[in-house]
Amino acid sequence: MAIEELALPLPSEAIRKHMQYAAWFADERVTRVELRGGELVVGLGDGADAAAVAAIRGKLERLAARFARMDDFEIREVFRTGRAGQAGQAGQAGEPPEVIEPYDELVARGWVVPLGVGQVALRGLALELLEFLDDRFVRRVGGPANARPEYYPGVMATDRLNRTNHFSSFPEHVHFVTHLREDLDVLDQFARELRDAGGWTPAILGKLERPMASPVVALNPAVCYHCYAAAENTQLDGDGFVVTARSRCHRYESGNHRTLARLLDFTMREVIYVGRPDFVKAERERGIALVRALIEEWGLAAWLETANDPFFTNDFEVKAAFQRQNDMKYELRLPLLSGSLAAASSNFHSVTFGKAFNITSRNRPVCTGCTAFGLERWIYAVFAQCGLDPAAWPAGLRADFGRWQASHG
Amino acid sequence: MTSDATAVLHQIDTFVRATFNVAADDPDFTSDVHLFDYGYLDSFGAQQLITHLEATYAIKISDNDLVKYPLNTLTEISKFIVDRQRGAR
Repeated sequence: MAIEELALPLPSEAIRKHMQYAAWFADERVTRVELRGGELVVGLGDGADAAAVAAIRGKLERLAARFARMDDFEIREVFRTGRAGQAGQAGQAGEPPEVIEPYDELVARGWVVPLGVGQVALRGLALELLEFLDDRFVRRVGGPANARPEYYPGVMATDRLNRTNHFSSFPEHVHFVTHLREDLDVLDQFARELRDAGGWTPAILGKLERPMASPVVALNPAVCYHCYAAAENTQLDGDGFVVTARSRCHRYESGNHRTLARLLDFTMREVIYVGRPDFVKAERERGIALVRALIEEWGLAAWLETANDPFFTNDFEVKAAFQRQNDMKYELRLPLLSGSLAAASSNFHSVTFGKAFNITSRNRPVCTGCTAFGLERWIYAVFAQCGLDPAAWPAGLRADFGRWQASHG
Repeated sequence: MTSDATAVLHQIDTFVRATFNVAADDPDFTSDVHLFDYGYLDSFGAQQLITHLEATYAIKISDNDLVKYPLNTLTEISKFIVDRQRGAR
């Protein structure tokens, strides 16, 4: 008899939340993940036999064991800003704003057009807001640090990406890029199968023998890796430098893709710090202060808290605990109807990337850090918190957006 | 048995230099250098150091200790060890 779901009791809310995300990666047969009371419930689509269910349960238990110490991780709040009213009076810090779920209305107005899982087109006010926010992050966060603009490709060579430890830390997110092999037999058979099938179907590749080349590039998972690769084998003269760049980024997140909050293909603006530890830490602190000043001026409710990356490997706890104990990652969270959304992060990587790309200062590997903004998440959080009518936005945000519109025709 | 802070500092200095390949003439490596910011230790190095300290000095170092007390420099770590042995932390 086919079994359609399995339930896994989990001891704490923190572990359940983590597993709600991670369970999608446990097995291809997982088609639904939800929390029911103290249990994680996993749907198995068309069902699975007892042996398959036991195997999936074993994988889920293995995964849950990685998060066993989640309850020990203290989340520390660095600052909190309150929501201002239309007239501009600042709200009380900690006072929750009224938020809406804006996605359906954004789609109804045509400002967001879903194009597939985790992919959207943006138009109208959504696109304007994205460009406005990006401009302000560049000018107001990158500007005071004299950030040098750089331009990066949307893909990264797999051998370079390998050196960032991205494959070993986040294997579930990697989007490899490949192509049909340079082989006339493969290319002709592909064209023939395509004709016979009346167009593309995923089954076509299964009919060909070894059709795809081994991937030598992957889609960008983050912007800053390119900065370090571009500075490879350099010895800095001074204490350090600051770069800003915007790039498309891609992370495969299985069944977790939703609205604008978790896209497969999204836009990230980063301000990147490279140099001596004191330089990078000072610039990172300045970046945090500048972000805070900006959201206070705009009148947005938000808070900055300690965080860790969602490492997917069995050394999760060692890496995550180290990040939290050393304040290596902060997330700026904005409220949503369903909780909150991390729309920016502030990161300190120590010498990980300086070593990986042989960037040195005074004969020691440099430190790196970055302030990163997920632009689609930002527009989503602003619409959720402020609504879809700019006339009703907090005075500070409305005024700054108006100035940007005036200078952009 | 409790240890002397200066002796502990010297012992940890020797352990870190040897285990994490610190050059003898590295001008940045001092008793007060931030071991993590300067990259002398990463997450796995920190685990390795904690295991060594617990075994050598017969103390326990919890995750809470790592958050609660500054344990970033050789000076801070040696002071913590001596205090913990005396029951002061």
